[in-house]
Amino acid sequence: MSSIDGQVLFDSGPHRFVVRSVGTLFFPPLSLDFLQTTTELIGPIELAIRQTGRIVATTESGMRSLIDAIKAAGEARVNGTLIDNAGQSWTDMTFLRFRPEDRVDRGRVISLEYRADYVRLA
Amino acid sequence: MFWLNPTEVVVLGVSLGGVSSVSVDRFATRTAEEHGDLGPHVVFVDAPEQRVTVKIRRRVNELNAGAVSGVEVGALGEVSFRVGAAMSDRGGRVVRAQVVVRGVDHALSERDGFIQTISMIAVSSDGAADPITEEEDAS
Repeated sequence: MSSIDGQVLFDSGPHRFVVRSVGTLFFPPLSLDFLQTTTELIGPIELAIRQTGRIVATTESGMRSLIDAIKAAGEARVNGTLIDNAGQSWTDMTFLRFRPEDRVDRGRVISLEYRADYVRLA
Repeated sequence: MFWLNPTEVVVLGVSLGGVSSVSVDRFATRTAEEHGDLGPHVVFVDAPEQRVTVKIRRRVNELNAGAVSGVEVGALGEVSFRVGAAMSDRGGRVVRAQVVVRGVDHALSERDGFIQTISMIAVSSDGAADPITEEEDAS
C-alpha cells in the first residue's frame, strides 16, 4: 500500500514508482549561445519521483470520488513522506501533479491510466 | 458462437438463401494491462475496447446468384436469422444485430463449390449493450 503524508490515494489499482533524474543540472556547451564553450553548472537536481498506474472503480461515481480526492490533494500540494508499495520511503515530498491519459476505460471495470509527480522542493 | 444451417437469414433487408453457417466472434481491440513494482507479471487486465464480428457463409449457385444488391461495404442495417436445435418450426430462437458490412469475399473449392462470405461488424446501441441479441422465436 502506497501513501503520501499518510493519505492513501491510489490503492484502487496497480501503480509503480521510479526516481527521476538525479545529480546536477547543467547546460552543455553551445546550448545557451555560440559563445558558450564550457558546461554551465546550475545546481543539484531536485529529487522527483514519478508514479504511473491506473485507478480502478466499479461505478462512475466511485471513479469521480477517487479523482476528486486526488485533485484535492494535488491542489493542496500535500507534503510529507511518500511510501511506495515495497515500503521504501522518501521524506518531504510534495504531490504536485496528477495527469490522466486521454480516456477512461470502461470494460469489466472503470479505470483510468495516469501518471503522478512528487518533488522534494528546494 | 457458431450456428450451422440457420434459416430465414436476412441481411440489410435482403433474404439470403444457401446459408451454411453464421459465426459471431468477439475480440478485444485494445487491452488495458498494468504491471506492478513487485515482479514481472501482469497484475491488471481489462478489455475496454471490443469488437464483435458476424460472418455469414453461404453457397452460391444459379438459384441464388452471388450478387447481393444492398449488401455493400460500409452499409448499415440489421442482420437476423433463426436457429433451432432440431430445425423444427417450434422452439427456435432469433438472433439479431445492427451491423456494418465490412466485406464480401468469395472462394471456390471442389468440395463446397462457390462460397460467399459476408463479414460484418456489429454495432451496439449505446456502447454498453451487447450488440448481439437472441430471443425466443414467437412465430
